[in-house]
Amino acid sequence: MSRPLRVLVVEDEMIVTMLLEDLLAELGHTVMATASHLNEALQLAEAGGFDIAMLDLNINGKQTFPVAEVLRAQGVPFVFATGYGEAGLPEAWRGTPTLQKPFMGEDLALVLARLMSSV
Amino acid sequence: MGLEVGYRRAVSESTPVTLEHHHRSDVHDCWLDVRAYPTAEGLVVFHCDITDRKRAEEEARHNAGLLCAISGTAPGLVFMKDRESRMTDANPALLRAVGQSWERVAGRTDTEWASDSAEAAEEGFTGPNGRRVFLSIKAPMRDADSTASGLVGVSTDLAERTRAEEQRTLLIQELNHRLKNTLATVQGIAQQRWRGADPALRRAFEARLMALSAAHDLLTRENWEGVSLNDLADAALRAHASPGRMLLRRPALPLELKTALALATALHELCTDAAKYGALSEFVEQVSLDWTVMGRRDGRLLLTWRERGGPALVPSKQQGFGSRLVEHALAQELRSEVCILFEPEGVMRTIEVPLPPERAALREGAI
Repeated sequence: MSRPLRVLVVEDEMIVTMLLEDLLAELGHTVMATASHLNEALQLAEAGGFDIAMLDLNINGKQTFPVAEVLRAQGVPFVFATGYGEAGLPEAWRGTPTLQKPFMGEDLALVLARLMSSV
Repeated sequence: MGLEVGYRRAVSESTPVTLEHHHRSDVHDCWLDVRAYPTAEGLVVFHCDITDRKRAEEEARHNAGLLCAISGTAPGLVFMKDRESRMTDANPALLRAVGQSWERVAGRTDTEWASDSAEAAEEGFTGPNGRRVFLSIKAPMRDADSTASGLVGVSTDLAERTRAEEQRTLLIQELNHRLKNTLATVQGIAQQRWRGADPALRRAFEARLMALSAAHDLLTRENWEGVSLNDLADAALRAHASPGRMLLRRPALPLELKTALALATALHELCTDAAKYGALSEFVEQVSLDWTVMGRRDGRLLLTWRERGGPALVPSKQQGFGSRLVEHALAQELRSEVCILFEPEGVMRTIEVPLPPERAALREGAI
């Protein structure tokens, strides 16, 4: 198993947040913080204190690209988790690691390994 | 002027008179060109039959009226230009689109009255309501002797179509996004429910969910208009085995939505079973899937799933949820007949699905 990671989860579906917590825990990682609103997510991103972030593209009607901007500026790796898949990303964000919902634990493990190896 | 009036005038005024006379009787219906010349003895009259010319004129008038009515009411832009690109005719829709009067554009080239010239297939005009883009089809206009005398063009406003297409793409994306989120939520609920239970249970459930999700991806890619059986089989089988262990024999066949989703689920279950007990397990040789369409009018799709080299199976071994799903759900949902045979060389299953008539016809056309 890769080294334990502290994860920020930005997701507005409570059940999906819980699922991510469980999947991450099974992989030996810890969810440090969760946010379901954009402002909250921005504050958490700016405060830092985690190794990677998982972002739903759209939380409560707002796109999370501003959060991605903050993370990019801070050099924190992140992955988009979205029903749209990578094809749904705007041009500027193409190539960002993306998990298409729904996904299995193995998919999550793969994308995290890829994220951490590229840091 | 009537015939008799004409003749009397020629005599009384001593002047030649020319007139056209429509002669109608029980046996005749013709047009005459009549020339009456007064002489000392009376009148010399020449008649010439001009019926054909009159009919041609009538037809030309009718055609001109028709052309005028069509170009006047057409929502698209209709225009004609001469060889120097000067506007020789334009319909009201064009004048409205460019915000110019006919007097302003008549006999002028685009560059003389518009801010942008127009040569490309898609062209824009800036009118009173801003810039609009049209699809223009242009063709040379030819005289009777085939020499090009100008240009004729028809342009269609693309704004509405583009907007509708964008709207549709957006809706499909949104629909897919919501669906995927819902599937993730279902996965989350199952995860909570099965906390601490046998991980194999959860895995099997999640794999079913992923297969359903993959089938929806295919549908989204095809704008929910249906999906080809080849793509469906590819996606289902690839998730379970390396290509060498799967054989697909495949005439092209587009499937409608309901059939596609039910078959995707069934194929997933077949693969799962094969991986667990049959030919895709460690004993392995291969699985082949082929299909054929029978019947022209009431088409039926016959799928044959054959496993080779798996361990010997007894019927009771495959009565799990997957088998029940393949046999019962398919039978009910698609009115298909499912048959399973435990042959010495491996399991063989046949699924016979009735196809809507147009799908069967498509298949015939595709050969």
